[in-house]
Amino acid sequence: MNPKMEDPVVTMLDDLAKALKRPRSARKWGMVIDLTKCSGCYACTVACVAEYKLPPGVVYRPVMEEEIGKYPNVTRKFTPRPCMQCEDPPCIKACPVNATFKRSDGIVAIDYNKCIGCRSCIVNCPYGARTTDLGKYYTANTPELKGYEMTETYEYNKSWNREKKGASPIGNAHKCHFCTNRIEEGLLPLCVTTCLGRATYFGDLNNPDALVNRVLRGRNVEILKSELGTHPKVFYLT
Amino acid sequence: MKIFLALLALGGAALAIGKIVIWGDNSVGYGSYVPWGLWVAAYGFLIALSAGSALVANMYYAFGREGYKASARSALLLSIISLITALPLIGMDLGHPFRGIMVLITPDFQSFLPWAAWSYVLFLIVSLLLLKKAKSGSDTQMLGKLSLLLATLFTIFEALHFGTVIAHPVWNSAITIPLFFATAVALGYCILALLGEVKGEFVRTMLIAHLLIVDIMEIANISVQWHSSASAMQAAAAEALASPVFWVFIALGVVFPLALLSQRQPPSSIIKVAAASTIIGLFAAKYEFVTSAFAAAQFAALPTAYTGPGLTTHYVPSALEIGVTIGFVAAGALAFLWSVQTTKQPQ
Repeated sequence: MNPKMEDPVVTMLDDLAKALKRPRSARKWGMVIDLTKCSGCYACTVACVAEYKLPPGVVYRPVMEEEIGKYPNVTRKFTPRPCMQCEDPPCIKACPVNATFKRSDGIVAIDYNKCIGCRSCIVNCPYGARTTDLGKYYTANTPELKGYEMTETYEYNKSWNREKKGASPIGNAHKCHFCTNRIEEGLLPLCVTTCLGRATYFGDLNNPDALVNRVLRGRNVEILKSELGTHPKVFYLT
Repeated sequence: MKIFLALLALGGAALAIGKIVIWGDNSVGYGSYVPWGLWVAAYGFLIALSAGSALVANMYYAFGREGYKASARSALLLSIISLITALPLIGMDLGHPFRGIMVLITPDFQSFLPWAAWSYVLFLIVSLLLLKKAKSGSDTQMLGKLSLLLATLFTIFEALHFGTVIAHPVWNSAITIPLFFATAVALGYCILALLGEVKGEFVRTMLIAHLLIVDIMEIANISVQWHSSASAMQAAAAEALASPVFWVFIALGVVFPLALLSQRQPPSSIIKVAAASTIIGLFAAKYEFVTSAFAAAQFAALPTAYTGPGLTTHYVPSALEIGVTIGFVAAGALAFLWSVQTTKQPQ
């Protein structure tokens, strides 16, 4: 196939395979979201909610919608907002028990079994990227609590379920983790593969030839709240 | 009175058990966009009350100021009890209440919370030793100074826990630490007035002075937020001004006590009413300080991007939050009354 015609997902899968051959500490996962391509279909949001069986009130990748301009010159701007996986994350410094930490590949992770549920990390995230599991179920007020809300889900290379009242991950802070389970198996994050407009790019920022780096060249790059010095690893093309 | 307090405390304990065992966080008003609410505000207030009471007690124990002697023991007891009341209350706020102890066992000192937690523990140990030493009539200066130092430290760490949050410019402000101090000192003088053992005119003067300091700081803070170019600051000021709780602060923490205290040589009952009113007013101010910071989400479009429980910037404490707070405070008040009546005053 002509490389120019290759689906970006295929290119990114190749980049991912190359990155996985290097030690974890040599990788730096990052994401680029092309806002000129995002059509606001919410496929990424829905895929993420389905994959991780996110309960009511927990969301990892909402898509913010804004109307810009005045009639008749009006446009809509869609901004997907995953966790920024900051280089200098304020959430980590706020955690009193070291339950949230940065992995050697740069992904900010949570140890659900250590998290005390103080929500200091949620308060300290300038991107509103963390939500808390309040122990609610979509089918709570129906005749039967559906099993799919309690079956196993996989995060941070572990299996979790929401069967036991009050046990983790209920009561914990939650956030996007770039689909750690998937990338370690050579799969792209779900928000990348489900993006209808191919607006989301993912890969190793340490590899200058990776698509995630190539798409950044020659484009206007926006970093959310860059003035705070958190150094996000999610970049927006505008 | 004691029976009434005991009933409230039992009710609060029953609700607390219900929250832990049955309802969990299903029964609370806070969530992801307003992660801290009434319990955090009440905890912050009780910590300030503890620090203020420690100041009053240690004016005698540490510095030998005779004017404070009659109230010193009761103030120290109140300081200890209000701190002990604050800790289970903040424990209730945790998603995993029984893991709260891990802040002491596996602390991460990058965060100010473990610094505060260890200061509480050391303060409690030192203050209990101080009580014992005072009872035996020994020299209390060293322990008194240490107790005051630790109360100062936990006030600083508590203020820094809020003041270093870059995500919320309302807290991430140079006024946060002095405001926490001013609140603690004003509360200390309210306690001194309520204990009623010190000369009326001295208490009135100190109360007016410290009340003016804290009130001016609170009002200046709101004014600066209102005129700020940062949308989060403006939203916080607008939220505060629209909230009845803020007007409770203005009424009971500013207008009413200052009007009462402006009388020349008022009877001690009037000073006590002014002090009680100030305590309620400063609690309202602390509540507004905590909750108004969440008036604006981190991005204006975030609350409508995905909806669900807890994904709103609108916060109203649930009946459970209010009931547990009242119950725990009643338990603290009961413990204070009991301890004051059963422990002997130093001669």
